[in-house]
Amino acid sequence: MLEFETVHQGFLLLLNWQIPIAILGGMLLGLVIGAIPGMTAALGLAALLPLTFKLEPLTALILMTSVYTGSLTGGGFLAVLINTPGTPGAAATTFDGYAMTQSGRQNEALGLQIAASVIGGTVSYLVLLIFIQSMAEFALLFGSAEMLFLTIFVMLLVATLQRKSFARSIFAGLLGLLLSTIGTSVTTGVARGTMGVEALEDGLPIILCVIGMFAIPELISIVAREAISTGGRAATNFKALLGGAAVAIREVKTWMRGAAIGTFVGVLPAAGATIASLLAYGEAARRAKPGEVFGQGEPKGIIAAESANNASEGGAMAILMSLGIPGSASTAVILGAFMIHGLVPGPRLFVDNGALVYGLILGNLAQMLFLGFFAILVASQVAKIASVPSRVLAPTLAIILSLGAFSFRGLWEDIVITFIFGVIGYWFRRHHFTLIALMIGLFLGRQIDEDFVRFIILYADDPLLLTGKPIAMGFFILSIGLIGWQTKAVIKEFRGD
Amino acid sequence: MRAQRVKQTDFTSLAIATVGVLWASWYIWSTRTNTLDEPEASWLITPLLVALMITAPFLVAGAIGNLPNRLRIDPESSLSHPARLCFTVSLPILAGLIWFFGFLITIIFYLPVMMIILGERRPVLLAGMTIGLIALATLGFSWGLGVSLPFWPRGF
Repeated sequence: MLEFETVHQGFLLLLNWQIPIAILGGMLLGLVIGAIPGMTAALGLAALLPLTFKLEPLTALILMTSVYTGSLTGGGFLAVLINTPGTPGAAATTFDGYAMTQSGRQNEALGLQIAASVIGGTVSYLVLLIFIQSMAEFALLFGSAEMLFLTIFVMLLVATLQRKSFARSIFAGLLGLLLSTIGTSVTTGVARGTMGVEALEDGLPIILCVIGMFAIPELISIVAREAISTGGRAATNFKALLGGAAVAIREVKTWMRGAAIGTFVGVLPAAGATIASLLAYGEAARRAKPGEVFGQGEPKGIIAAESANNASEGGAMAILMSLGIPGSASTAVILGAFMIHGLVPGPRLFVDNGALVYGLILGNLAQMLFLGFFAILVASQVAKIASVPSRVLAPTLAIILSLGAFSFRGLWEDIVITFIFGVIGYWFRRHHFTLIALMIGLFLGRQIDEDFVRFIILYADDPLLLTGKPIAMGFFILSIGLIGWQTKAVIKEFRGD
Repeated sequence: MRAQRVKQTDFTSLAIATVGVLWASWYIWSTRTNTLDEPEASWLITPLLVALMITAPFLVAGAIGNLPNRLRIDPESSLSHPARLCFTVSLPILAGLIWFFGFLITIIFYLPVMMIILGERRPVLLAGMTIGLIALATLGFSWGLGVSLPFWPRGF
C-alpha cells in the first residue's frame, strides 16, 4: 500500500526545472512519432536513449515515459484518421473512430480519443501509485495456461464482435498465430518456415506487418476518392475537439470500466494494451442501449477502447518496475534506461529507490495533464489529414511507410514485407477476413508458442490439473460460451429469423 | 423477415482458404521433417493446422453461395478503378526503386510522378511535397533518429 513518506520524497525529486522540459519535449516528440505511420515508439525511444546518459535518472526516465505516453495517444490519431492503429492497442479505436472521420466528424472523434486517453492514463497511474505491489502479484497469477486460454477467449471475442463471418475471423486469427511463429523457435533455437530468407530468421517484423495490413488497404481505397473525409473540408475545429472531449468526460461509466480493464489487463506481457482495449470495447458493445450502433461511429466505442489502451500503460509500468518484465519493445527500451542509470527493476527497486519510483509515478501523472493540452494542439493540425486530397496523401504516406519500415531494422526486406502484408490486408478486408483477428494472432503467436510448450509439459499427462487453475478454467468456460452463443446466432440467421 | 441471399461464389475467399491451408501444411511439414529441429517446434503449429482445416469447410460453405447479403463484397474497394490499380502496382515499383536507387532519387521520381498520375497538377505543391519529404527523410529519420538510410543508388 501507499507509503506517504516515500511518496513525499518522490514529490520533492520532481521539483527540478528539468522535469517540465523533459515532459513537454518528450510528449511532443511522442505525439509526432505516434502520428507517423510506420514509426514505432520503440524506435523513437531507442534513438533518444543515448541522449539520456547525462541526465539525472528521474529526468531521463520521465523523458522516456513521456515519449511512450505521447506515442500511444499519437497512435490513436492514426486509428481515427486513416483506419490504421499506430500502436497495437489502438486497434479497437478504428472501429468507431474511422467511421466518424468518414462522416466528417474527425475533430469530435479526436476529442473523444484524447480525453479518454488522458482519463485512462490518469486513473491507471493513480491505481499504480496505491497498488503497484498488488498489481505485480496479479500479473504473476497469469502463467502459461492462463495466457493460452485468455488468448483463445480474446480471439473468439474479436470474431464475435465483428459480426461478419465467424469462420473467416477464426481462420484469420489462426493464420496470424501461424505466421507469427515463423523464424527461430524460442524453444528449440532452430529456424522454421523462413524459406531461406535471412531477414525472416528473427521472425516477421510484427508491428510493420500490422501497419502495412491496415494502412495500405486504406490508401488503396482512398485513391479513388477525393479525400478520406466525405464531410467537406475540415478546418481546425477546436470547438468540435473540445466538444468530443466533454462527451468523453461525461461518459463516466464507460471510461471507468475501460480504465479498470486497461489497468489490470495491461499487466499482461506482449499484448496487454491490445487485449485490454478489445475487452473494454466488447464490454461497452455488450451494454449498448437501443440506438447505439457500435462500429458505425459510436462515441462510447472510442471512449472504452482508448481509456483501456492508455490505462494499460500503468499496468505495463507496474510489471516493468516491480518484476523487471518488459511487456513490449517500447518498455524494453525503457528498461534499458533504468539499467543505464544503475537501477535494476524488480522487488529491490522499491526498497533501494522508493522515492525515485514514486517520483516517476507522480511525474507520469503530471504528464497526463500536459498530454491533454498538447494532444489537442497536435490533433487540431493532424486532423487536417482527413481533408488532404488523396492524390497527395496516398503517395506521400507510401513513402513515409517505406522510410518507417526501413528504419525498423535497417533492412530493405522489411519494406517488401510491409507491402506484402498490405496486399494481404487488402484482400482480407475486402472479403471479410477480420484483420483485427489476424493482428491478435500475429502479436500473441510467439508468446503462445512458448506458453503452449510449457503447458504441454505441465499438463499433458494429467489435464485434470487444470481444474486447479480457476482463471484458466474461467476463460475456457467463457470461450465455450462464446462458441455456443455464436453457433446459435448463425443457426438463427440462416433460418432467417 | 428472411435475410436476402446472394447466390454467387466468392472465388477470392476460396483462394485465400486454399493458399492458407497449403502454406500452413507446407510450414508444418517442413518443420516436422527438419532433422535439426526438436519435436517441440511443431507442438503448437500442428494443432493450429488442424484447427485451420476444421475451420476451412465452414469458410468454403460460406463462400460458395447462400451468403447473407451483408457479406457482399464492397464495390467501392474494387481494383478495377484505374487509380486504385495504378497505386497498387506502384508499390512493388516503389520497393524496387528504393533497392536500386536509394531514397533520394526514389522520392524525387516516385512522389511527383504518382501525384501527377493520380490527378495532381499544381507544380508548386508537387515540388513542395517532394522537398518536404526529402527534408523529413534527412532531418527526421537520418539525423534526428540516427537511422542509416540508403540515400544513394547501390554502389555509390
